[in-house]
Amino acid sequence: MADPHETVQPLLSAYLDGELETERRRLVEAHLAACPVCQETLASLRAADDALATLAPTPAVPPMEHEFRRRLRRRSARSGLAASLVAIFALTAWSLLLELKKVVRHKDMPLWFRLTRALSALLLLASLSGLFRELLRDVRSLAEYAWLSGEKRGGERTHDRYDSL
Amino acid sequence: MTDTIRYSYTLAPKVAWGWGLMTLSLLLRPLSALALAARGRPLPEKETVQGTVRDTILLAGIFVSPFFTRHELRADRLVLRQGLNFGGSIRYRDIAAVHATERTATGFPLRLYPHTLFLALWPVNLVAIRLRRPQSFRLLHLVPGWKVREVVINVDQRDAFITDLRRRVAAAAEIGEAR
Repeated sequence: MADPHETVQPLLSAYLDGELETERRRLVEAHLAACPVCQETLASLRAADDALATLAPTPAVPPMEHEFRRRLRRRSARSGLAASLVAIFALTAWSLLLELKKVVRHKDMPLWFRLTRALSALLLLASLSGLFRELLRDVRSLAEYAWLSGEKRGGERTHDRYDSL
Repeated sequence: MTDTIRYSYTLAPKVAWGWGLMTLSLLLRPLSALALAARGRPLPEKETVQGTVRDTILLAGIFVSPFFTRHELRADRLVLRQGLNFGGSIRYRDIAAVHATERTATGFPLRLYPHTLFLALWPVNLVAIRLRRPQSFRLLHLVPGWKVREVVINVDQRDAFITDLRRRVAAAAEIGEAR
């Protein structure tokens, strides 16, 4: 005959949850009445249940779809912004090169004047290219801003991290 | 604690070169026209002496004046300056947090976002100053801007500035609690 502990102990959790059918429930109850070891096991299971019941509810996980859409929006915003920056720089560079070409062909103006104008256009092109390079490098972080992530004005950003003082 | 300490934002190499180069290139154009006019030569078409003088003054005001101003940490407030473009102050008790940031000031040198005012000549050594409540600043010393929760500036000695500002903000908070 099997050891009653081996038969009853696996049923204790189900017994505690009221999931046993009548016959098995009576078997467990009969064993519990005479067995202090199983009584102790049942008491520890009940204590664990009570302890779990006192835990704070787990916060709800934000819907994945919302998160996915938000990330998608950011990514497209980043791409759009990067493309806009490149387009702006290309237009500026093009207009500066046109200016340069016009200055070079301005034969009626003194040479020093034409050289100064050409230098001005080249220096502006160099400084703007430096600036646009900086902007493009960090364009990823620009999507943090509210106007890109579709946040309403006056609201709080939830995705920004700040060091506390 | 009550000493006023000034922090420059134009001595970092990237700022000096980038902004300086842009300033020089923009000023060369009207200055060369003025030099031409001074020699009695006719200006290129569509350019006038009056317009050139106006452009020179305007460009010098916008681009050169920031080199002559600095941010200041005073006894009770942080004073922000950017030449003729900007002047404003934030009381230490109105500052919630200060931290270094690598975000880019796209709207250089001065650009207002819905939440953030960027006040950086070049996107390097940026410091974000988070305010306890929204505050508005005047752009170009005249035009009122909408309220922002954060101001991003650049300073040459970023770590020293952050440490100093945090200490002053913490001291202001202690005084506020004591009252």
